[in-house]
Amino acid sequence: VITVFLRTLIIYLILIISMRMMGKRQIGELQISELVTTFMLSELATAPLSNKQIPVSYALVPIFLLLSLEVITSFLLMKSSFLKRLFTGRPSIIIHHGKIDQQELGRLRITIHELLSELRQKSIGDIADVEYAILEDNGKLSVFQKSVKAPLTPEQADLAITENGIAHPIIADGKISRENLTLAGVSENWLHAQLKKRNLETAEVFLLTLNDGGELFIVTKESIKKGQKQK
Amino acid sequence: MKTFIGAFLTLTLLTGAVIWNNIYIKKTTTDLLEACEKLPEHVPEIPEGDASDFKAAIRETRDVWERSRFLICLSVNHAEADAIDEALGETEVYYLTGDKSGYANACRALKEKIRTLRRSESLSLEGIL
Repeated sequence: VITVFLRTLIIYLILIISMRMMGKRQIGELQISELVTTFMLSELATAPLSNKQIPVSYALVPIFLLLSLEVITSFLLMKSSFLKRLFTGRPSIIIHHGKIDQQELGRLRITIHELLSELRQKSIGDIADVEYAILEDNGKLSVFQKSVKAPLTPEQADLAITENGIAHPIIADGKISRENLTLAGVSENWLHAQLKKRNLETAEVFLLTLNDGGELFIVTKESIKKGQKQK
Repeated sequence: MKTFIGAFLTLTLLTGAVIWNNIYIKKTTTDLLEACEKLPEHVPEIPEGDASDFKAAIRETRDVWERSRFLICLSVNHAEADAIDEALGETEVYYLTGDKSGYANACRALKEKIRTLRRSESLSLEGIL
């Protein structure tokens, strides 16, 4: 087991270094250490299942070791910016004030076609509209358009807008969520009064949401056929 | 912070358990090899008449093995443990049937399998790589 323990430790470190060297393009959603743990866990868990001669400890020791390392690594990354930079890298600015940093693109091994493709996926058809493009340490591209090309905001148009916040699902599939009632700041009596006004029973409601602006959105169950939505 | 402490404790316990296991296997295999040394070197002409030394030695070896088998099997490939069971059985059979060369080979095989078990669990660069 001691060999398995040390092998796991060595492979974990080697995988982290390899993934780090491969760069952000390979990562996607996860942080490097999370990705490495995910790779290793899926393989380790199956070994004793496929071979009865292998003791369960051959999987348990590496799994617990990896989980502890993952939690300890995350904690240390949170506390130390040096380790954070070492393990996960830092965001790379690819477009700065509308100017493409070709050197950075080369360092990240991203071609201009790949960058254009990424921008198209973000509904940006012209790279000239981009003020900033930053490749985050998890491999995702953040894009900020030039102010003249960005969508007009109510603030810029000097419009008075009511803040609607989020819509709290108060009833889902005929069941009232008391927690969301509290979050929305209304009582159950108020809810029943609203339903009564619309001639509805709680059980007949498929979805009822209430946003911070006080707007109700109701979808009745299809089996009830009392209409689709009312405001 | 609680998760970190939990993870740190898990890592500490795991490291402790792994080191303890390594020491335990080393000690058990040393005891087993010592017990094996007490086995007679040759099969006498009439084994039935003078098998008491052998029976005492093989019982001692078996006792050491049976006592530690469960804990060893928690961390060692079961095939290696089965091989020692098999070698003990063969040693006994060859002695009691008076098969001199068979007994000598079985004794050698038993010691070798115990050493293999020890080697497979000992910490070495060769084992890690």
